[in-house]
Amino acid sequence: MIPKRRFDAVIVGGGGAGLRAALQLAEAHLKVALISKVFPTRSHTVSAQGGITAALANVSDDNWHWHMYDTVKGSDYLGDQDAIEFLCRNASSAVYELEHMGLPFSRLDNGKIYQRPFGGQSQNYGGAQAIRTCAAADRTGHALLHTLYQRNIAARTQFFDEFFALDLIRDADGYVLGVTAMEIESGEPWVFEARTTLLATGGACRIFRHSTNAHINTGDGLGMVLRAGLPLEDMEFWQFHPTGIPEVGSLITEAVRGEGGFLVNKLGEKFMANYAPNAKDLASRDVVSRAIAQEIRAGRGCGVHGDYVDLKIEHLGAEKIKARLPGIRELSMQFAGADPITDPIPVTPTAHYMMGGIPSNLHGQVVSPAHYGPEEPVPGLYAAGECACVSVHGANRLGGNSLLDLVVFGRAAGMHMIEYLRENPIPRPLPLAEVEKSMARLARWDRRGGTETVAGLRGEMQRVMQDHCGVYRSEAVLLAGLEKLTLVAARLTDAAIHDHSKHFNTARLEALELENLLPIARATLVSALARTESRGAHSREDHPGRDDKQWLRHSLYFCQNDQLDYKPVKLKPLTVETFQPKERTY
Amino acid sequence: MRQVGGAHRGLDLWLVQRVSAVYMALFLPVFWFCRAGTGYTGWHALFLGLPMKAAAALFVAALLLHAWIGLREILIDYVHPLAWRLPLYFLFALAYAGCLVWAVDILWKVQ
Amino acid sequence: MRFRIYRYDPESIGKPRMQDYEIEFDPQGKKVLDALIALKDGLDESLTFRRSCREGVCGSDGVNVNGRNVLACVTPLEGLKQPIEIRPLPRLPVIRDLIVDMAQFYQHYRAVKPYLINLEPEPESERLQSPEERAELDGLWECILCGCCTTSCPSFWWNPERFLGPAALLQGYRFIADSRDQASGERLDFLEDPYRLFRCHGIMNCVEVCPKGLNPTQAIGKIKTLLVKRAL
Repeated sequence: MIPKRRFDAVIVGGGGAGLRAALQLAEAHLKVALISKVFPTRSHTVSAQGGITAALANVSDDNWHWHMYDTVKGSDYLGDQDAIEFLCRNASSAVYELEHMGLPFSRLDNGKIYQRPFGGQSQNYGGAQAIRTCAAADRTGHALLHTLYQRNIAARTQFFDEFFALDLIRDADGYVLGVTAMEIESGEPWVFEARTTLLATGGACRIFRHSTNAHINTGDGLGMVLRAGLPLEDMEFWQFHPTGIPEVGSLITEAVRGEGGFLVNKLGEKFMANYAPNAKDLASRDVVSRAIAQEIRAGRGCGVHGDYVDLKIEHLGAEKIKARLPGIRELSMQFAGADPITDPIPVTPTAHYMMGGIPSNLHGQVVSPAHYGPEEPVPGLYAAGECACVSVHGANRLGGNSLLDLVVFGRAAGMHMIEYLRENPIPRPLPLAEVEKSMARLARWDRRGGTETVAGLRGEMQRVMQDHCGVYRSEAVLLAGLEKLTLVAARLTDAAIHDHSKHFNTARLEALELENLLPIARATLVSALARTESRGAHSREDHPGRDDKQWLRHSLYFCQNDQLDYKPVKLKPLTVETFQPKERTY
Repeated sequence: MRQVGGAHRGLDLWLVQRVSAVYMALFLPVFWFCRAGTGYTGWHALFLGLPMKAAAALFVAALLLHAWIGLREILIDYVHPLAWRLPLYFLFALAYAGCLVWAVDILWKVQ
Repeated sequence: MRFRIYRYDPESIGKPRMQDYEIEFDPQGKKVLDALIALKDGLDESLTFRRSCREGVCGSDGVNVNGRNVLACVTPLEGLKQPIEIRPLPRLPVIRDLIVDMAQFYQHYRAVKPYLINLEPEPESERLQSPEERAELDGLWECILCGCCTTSCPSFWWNPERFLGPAALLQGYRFIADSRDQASGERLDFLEDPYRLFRCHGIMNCVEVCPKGLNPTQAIGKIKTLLVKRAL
């Protein structure tokens, strides 16, 4: 008999969004279980560097309308404007709340929260550079994650650390009633029954060979959603961060350019002026990534292979670098062998963030077409953070908006879950057949004697995605990629693991993660192939223009038969006027 | 495990150990500087006065206190069963107290 | 490259053992974690270790390499004496191979109430804090809870149940030092104890191994100073 625990809410994922939602629920004295495959402070939120964006106006004149405009523009008009208004309107209160919780923000001389400029930020709807990103040195994610975890300790949230969620438990009427999970230490399966389930499982950049993401970013929530027959939204949009350390992938924050750093090619030219005459190095990330890719293509990359460009900050001086960018200096010295006080940091565009994800609305409810339309909530199921697609980031996320996304929608989801729990006090019967199905999937890896290895297949998938779905895409390249990926996925049936211990079996864990990664990679290729335009981070060389007539809409990918569906972008904000799509220049 | 408050101890002993160290560090150079001659008469003359007698007695007390606290730390670190540790505390305390009495006796015998 | 790695699986009967591995691997620019992953992917799937961010900020992969507690992901392979001996962090119960049970470590962390306590009404905007007050927190809040310091501390080896250890004490001081926190008194009350705090003898192994370059001994010293100030 599988051990079963019953809670009011179960949260899958212990990063920023999961912890923020858990806090909301625990402080409302509900029974909440937080399942995380790693100890919560090991979650990838910890790697966020530059900051969290909110129009506090501590440094430059600012208000949330301008932040909203920038976010809509940054999303290349694919973001839903109601959700973006919600995000930007709640940004200041969310940041103040974090400050009250104890987050150690850096400070200005007047004692207020320190803010720095980031890419794509403007005053007065596209005017002068705004200074909007609130920071704790260059370790804002670390500060945020630890602060939220600490608040959850105070609120006595029940943590299930090192539990790996397997599948959603969904009954015939479509209600989500909890998850199945595996206790990693003992290898034993568990059932977590709850009237509300929140997925906060983060991103999935591990589909790529080079990414800024942690090893754990394997899109487990996305895999669960696909297996439950629900769609993923806008999976063609992956952000390539302009400044990752080549090969290693470690992120060099945009704050480096915000503090005054700039990019140069091998000729020493500050090339960003040619691509974004106004914003230059602080243009939106997709723009800067394409610029670097073009410089490298044109043979102006640095190094022996000419495959990166240099990011220079020596002119800031040792003192400022040590005070404002200590983490960057550490990373650069450890992984690039360059001390930025004296040497440039080598950087190249690196897969960084998934704009798409589980379709959800601004209350965190997962939505999916079922009876009457694409915005129909799946009862009991929520998603927040990078795994969710609200969509506030549209086709391209602005720096500093992801930490904001975590706390704003983590809180919103928590609040809506409280409401839902009040309205649905009676637990529905658990469909045991669903649990059985999940157990069968787990048992599949007990099989011995396969010819393929998990690491081998994962490596091949990552290579396919890296080569066929990078900064620039085209039909031929994507098609070839899809073909290769189909072959790789087919070989999964022949894969087996050679470690059959029950205790802390990380080989089995990696196999289960691969089962989540493969369909995500497929969703990406299929969605990217279908979208015959260039928008935000999705650049089709065979369709270089943005096509609002046909493509101002979200893609929905279902894994059954690679089916694609579309839904309109919500252009109507909650209270303000629509920002009409127009040409996007920086 | 139940959380009880701190024992509100540890600080006093820690502080005493440091203060005793400071006293020893001050006394030793003064003593070195004060000794007049090397022979018996010099020593005898030095310890004839009451101030030196008292200062030297205090030095021995500080030394023993310092040593006992250090010993207690070691016993806490290594000897976990209370049934062993407590008798050891007392044993050493007794021995050290004996040493102090002996030292005072010696000092005051100087006439 | 040659490795000697501590192996233990609770399921197989038998004691923990050291296993030798040899693998073609160019150490140039690579870290210990890269080698562990190469071993796991290429030679022995059952080799078990924790890892997450692979850039020294999440604190998952604290291990003991050639006798020194380090984060595997930021420790260069170049310059390490071969065979490179990798063991789990000392003194904590081993779950499997390089994975230790950190429950005790986390319990001590929770014990210091690692969260801001301030019962004043919340202002509408941020609480003000001068850059100087904020600077007091530098070198404290950056702790990643990897456990390298605490498991290298002899005082923790001797009294793991009762001595809080450098990591927890550093976090204890992080909140005492925060100008926004109002519970310094209670925090000091809790810490003033022959075991929780005063097991620290200033051995400074913690400072020696901290992969983030933090100085727990100094923080502990500051706690003691505050206690003395309060007592006098």
